[in-house]
Amino acid sequence: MSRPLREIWNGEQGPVYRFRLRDGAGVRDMATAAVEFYIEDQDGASYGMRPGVIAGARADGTVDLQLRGRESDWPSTPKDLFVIPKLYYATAPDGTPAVNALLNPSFDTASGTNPTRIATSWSQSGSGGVFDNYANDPAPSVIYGAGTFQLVNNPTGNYLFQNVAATPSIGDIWSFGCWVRGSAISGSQDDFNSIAMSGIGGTQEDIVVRLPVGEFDWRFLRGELVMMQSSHTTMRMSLFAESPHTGSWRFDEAFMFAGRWAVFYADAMRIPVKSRSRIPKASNQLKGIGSFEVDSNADGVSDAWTKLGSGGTFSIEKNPAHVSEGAASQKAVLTDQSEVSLRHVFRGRFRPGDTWRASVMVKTNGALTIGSGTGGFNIVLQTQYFEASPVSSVATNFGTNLATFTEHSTSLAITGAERSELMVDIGLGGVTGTVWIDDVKLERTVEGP
Amino acid sequence: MANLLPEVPGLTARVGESGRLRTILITKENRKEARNLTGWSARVLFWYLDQAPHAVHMATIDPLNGLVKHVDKAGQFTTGERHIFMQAELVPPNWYMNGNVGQAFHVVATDIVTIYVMGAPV
Repeated sequence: MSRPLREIWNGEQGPVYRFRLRDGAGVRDMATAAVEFYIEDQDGASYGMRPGVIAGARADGTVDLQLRGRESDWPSTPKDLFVIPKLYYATAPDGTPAVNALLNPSFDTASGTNPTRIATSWSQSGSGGVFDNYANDPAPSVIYGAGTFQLVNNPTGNYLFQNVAATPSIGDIWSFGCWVRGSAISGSQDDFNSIAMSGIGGTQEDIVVRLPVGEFDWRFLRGELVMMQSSHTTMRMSLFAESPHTGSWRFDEAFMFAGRWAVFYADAMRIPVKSRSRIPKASNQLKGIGSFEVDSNADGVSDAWTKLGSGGTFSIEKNPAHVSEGAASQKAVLTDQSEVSLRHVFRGRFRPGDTWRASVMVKTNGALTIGSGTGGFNIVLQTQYFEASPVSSVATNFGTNLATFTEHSTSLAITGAERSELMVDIGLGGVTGTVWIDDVKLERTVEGP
Repeated sequence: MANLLPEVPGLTARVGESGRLRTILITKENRKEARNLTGWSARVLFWYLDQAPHAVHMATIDPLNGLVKHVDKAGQFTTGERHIFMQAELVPPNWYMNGNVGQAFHVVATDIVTIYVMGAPV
């Protein structure tokens, strides 16, 4: 019998479960642990691994599991899900929780400014091509704290490392680990795309764990080194993401310690998934959301939409003359902004072979003035990165002199792997004037095999 | 009058009605204290048995009281006497980023509320 967790409705998008990790009678400090959750359905089909995201202070032992849309969105009769936690406990040679030898292991403090912002206590072997920035990452953007370390298109010979004073003896065991995710990592697996630990001083010895290539979401990589050389004075952990590889890497929650990882699985837990009435995929999934009716926090942007970029004046328009349908529309007064858009992220199961169509009604106050701002005045539909290679629709530009609400649409054929998120982006860059948008729709026009 | 929800007064409506405020209280896991819904958004779906939702509207949020508030609109109660089902879908702020309001990184659905729709006088 599996312990049941809170049941969910079919199609609840990305529900979150919160756990507290215990170690015997006490709470396990997440400073010395990592958790992965493996997801299966009742028939044993695997949906892969989801990371355990540290939800509060590490010492609280609280961990979040966030399901993706593809795990909780069933086409008809839903299936129960099973969650199997995999626990990694950093364990000292005497069996007690090990102490992480690294400072700033979560990359939450940094010095400098992008693109040469380096995490405190870590060093860069070379220069250029390094910066940290996680703000636009899909959730979970971090495993713990306020930041990750991001490396993009790192040049030759450039890697990040931290040295720790240590004098291990022959036969001593040191271990290390790190959470990693990557996007568009080119090439094949090799030592230039890896995490490594080294015993330095005397004859150097290393353990290298190669990272995947392509697109991969958070995973916990680890290794251990049994000392075969004497006279080490330093233990070093390194993050290699360098030429000839290009791409974008994230690192978080690095561990290095004297001892070994204790690795074991906890009992499986069951998530019952209940049936309910659903909006058919072939009709508008954004009913309510796409009509810009409510602005609960009075920030000028309709609920369920996020404004990306800065500039422009946004408000909810209730003058019926400027509303396409319902009681309100989204008004934007623009002054040639760059990279300003409205985004809605819709979760669900988006299968290869499906084609999805997004549309929007647009009206302008006379002719808009076209400027030099970038980002486009258009509608785009795209998938997220870190899950599979992102695919994007061909942007459909809006007219710039629309006396009445005019529909603009774009379609995206899902290729490759199953996806969990579609982003509907309404680009509002490069024009000056007043525009109203209303009735954004998202619907499946072709169902895959 | 049908009351399919224990300890909940029977919810009723008449065909063609609109304008009535309906509220859904969202509590913490202890089911006693209201959950703070600051930064959340919600939409409300209505459907008849074995049918897809025929009316879906955004709701307003009373964040400190944990309330999802929706005013009945024309088009919700369109046919004769029968049960109608109502469910709210809530979208929290994006805690992982900048707390953006209701950015749909996850959506939670409430229990389903049953409303008995009575015929209207003719």
